[in-house]
Amino acid sequence: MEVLAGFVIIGILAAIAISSYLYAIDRARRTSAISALATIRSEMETYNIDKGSYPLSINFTNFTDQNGAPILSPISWDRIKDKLYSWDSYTLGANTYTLTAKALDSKHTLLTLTPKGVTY
Amino acid sequence: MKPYKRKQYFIHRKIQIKYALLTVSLLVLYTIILLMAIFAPYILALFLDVPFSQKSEAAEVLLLLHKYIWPGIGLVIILFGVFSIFITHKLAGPVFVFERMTRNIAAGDLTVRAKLRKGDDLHDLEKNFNQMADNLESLLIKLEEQHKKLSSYVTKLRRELEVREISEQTIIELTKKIEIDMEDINKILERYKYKGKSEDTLDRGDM
Repeated sequence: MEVLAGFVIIGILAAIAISSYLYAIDRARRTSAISALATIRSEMETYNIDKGSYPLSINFTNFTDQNGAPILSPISWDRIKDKLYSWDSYTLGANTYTLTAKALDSKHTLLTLTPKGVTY
Repeated sequence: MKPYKRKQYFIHRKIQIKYALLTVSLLVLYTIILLMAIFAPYILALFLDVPFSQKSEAAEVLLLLHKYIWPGIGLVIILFGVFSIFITHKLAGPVFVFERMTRNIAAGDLTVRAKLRKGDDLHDLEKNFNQMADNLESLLIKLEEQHKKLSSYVTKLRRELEVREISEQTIIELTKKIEIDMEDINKILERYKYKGKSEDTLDRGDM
């Protein structure tokens, strides 16, 4: 009987711990995706300075511009590509751009990157 | 009782599973507490108002730990569960043997003896149990001897009475023999303590 009570208590503790842990992991995944987009933002600024404008379009399979030139260094791209669930869209505006992507968390939070930063 | 050879490790399923579960749940509890201590700083950094660079660093560490720590912990918990079967088996085996032995003795079979394997625990208990069975068995053997003697005297007495050629001398002789035998039985009983032991026997024991 006391063994059963022990099991129940440990089970409840474990359930609480696991659910709050999973919540934290979810948040970590979103934070990681935001951080990846922050890296892309700074690379986009470098690209803008180098080429005089933001890329016309982005090939999301290897993050190159319309001419196949890399926007991110291959090393950065390798580090970033698995941190997002999907890359959704890229639109170029007048000296601005909007890139949307979904984070890896359970809700697949939609993140929007502009030269000003990441919003969600 | 033929020596019981064991190859399987589940001897006393109920006890062993109980202790395996107990071991595993204690380990789970320990893991929860340990991981809380390990993860807490990173989880706090994620939710508290700290610079984003710290948050993202914490997120990376957390995701890395999340990826690698669980398979290892799962493996350890399963290993401990299996180990506990091996450990309890050294106790569950003897318990099984003793249970069987005492059941047989209770049913009246005093020839059974416990025989544990070399690696088993509880060898002292084995010795005591076997000593107990030896004593009980030798008690019965002695009582049977006395019983045989008494029966033979009684038979002889009856036969003598039947032929009616019994002399006073023979009667006195046989009565003396019967008295000696009864005395012997009392001596055997003196060694034992039991409920309802007559004062008479105790007094004779003091003599």
